[in-house]
Amino acid sequence: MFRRLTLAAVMALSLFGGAAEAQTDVAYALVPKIGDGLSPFTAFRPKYADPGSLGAGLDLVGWAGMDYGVEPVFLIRVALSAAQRTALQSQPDAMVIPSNLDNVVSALALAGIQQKLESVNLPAHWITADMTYRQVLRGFRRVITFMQRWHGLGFGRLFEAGVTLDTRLNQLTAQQRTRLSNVADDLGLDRSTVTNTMTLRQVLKLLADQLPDVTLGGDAV
Amino acid sequence: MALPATDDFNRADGGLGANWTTQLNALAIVSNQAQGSVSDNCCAFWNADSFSADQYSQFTCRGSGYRGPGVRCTDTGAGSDGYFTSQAPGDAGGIYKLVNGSFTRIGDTGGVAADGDVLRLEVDGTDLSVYKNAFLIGSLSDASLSSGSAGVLVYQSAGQLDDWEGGNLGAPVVRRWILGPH
Repeated sequence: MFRRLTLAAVMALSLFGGAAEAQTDVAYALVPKIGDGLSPFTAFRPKYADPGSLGAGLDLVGWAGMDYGVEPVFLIRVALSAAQRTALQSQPDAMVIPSNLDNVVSALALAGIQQKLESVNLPAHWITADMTYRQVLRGFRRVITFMQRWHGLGFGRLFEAGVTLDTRLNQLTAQQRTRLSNVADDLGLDRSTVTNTMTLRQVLKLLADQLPDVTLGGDAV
Repeated sequence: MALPATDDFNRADGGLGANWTTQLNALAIVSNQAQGSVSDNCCAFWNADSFSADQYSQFTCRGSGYRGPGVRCTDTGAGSDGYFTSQAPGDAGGIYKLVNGSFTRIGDTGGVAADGDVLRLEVDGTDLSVYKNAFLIGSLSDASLSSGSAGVLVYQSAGQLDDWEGGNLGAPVVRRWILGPH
């Protein structure tokens, strides 16, 4: 009974949602993480999700987020009006992905995208100028998923002082290497091709690529 | 016992009883409803049954304070874990994860649940879905937590709940073909 009601409700919502979102575009953005986590009211959360943070009348509503584990960045999916998009894009610490995910990354934009992603420790060496933004989004969402399980297993930051994407596995502590193995095993990933001379950039991408696509806000991308 | 588990809290005022494990701070029964026992986050999960990874938790909201169902709740001793949702004044609807005792807001559903509304949280794989009165009001993905039990979260005593139910999700159904922010 509950399932039948749910299906009917979802169908109704989709109709109303389609009309309500006619003047908005679904957007994906990387934004910093703020908060202290001590209570739901001061929870870690995406910057710009707080009322008034983008200016009067520009509050983000109905957003869905994926934090990059314990790393200080969030990927959010949210319907944006033109004014909201302009306001979010004007924030120097926000990276808003173009609304048409089937557009190809231009050669001109490539270096900038890679720099922005790697500045928050998301591997971007694999992105090329012939990829669509959808492929880019899928790729780094899998890495985010991997690091969420890292968080869930109770581990502290991987990219703490001295650890970067260029750090090789054999430069990590034994504990850090064990934690990477634990996350891979917990997610059922094959780590047989990982070697100690690989960089974290390579290892994270190699492992995360085995994960299935995830949905965010109902969007499988 | 057998799932789904239910609790109507119709018993003497006091603790929730042996079928519930406290996370953070304890809930209490007052006048046949559950509420927070202190001015802080009060969580508990059902321990009398084992839940599969894909599960749900739901209850009828009472009062107007902060309260929400939780899934994949655990208390390892090192810290409390779980996914929760709420719809309360001053919060305007959120989806949270609690990992090692720290809250992260991972989604926004908007709205406030009124007295009598039924809030339900489901987790299916990495997909979290929030329903109010059987209407889907939010969904997202998170891979942090992979197992645990159905539970509840209440903040202070203004948020009350009644007629809790927790159980396992059945076989996949067709419902997931449309979702989005509302």
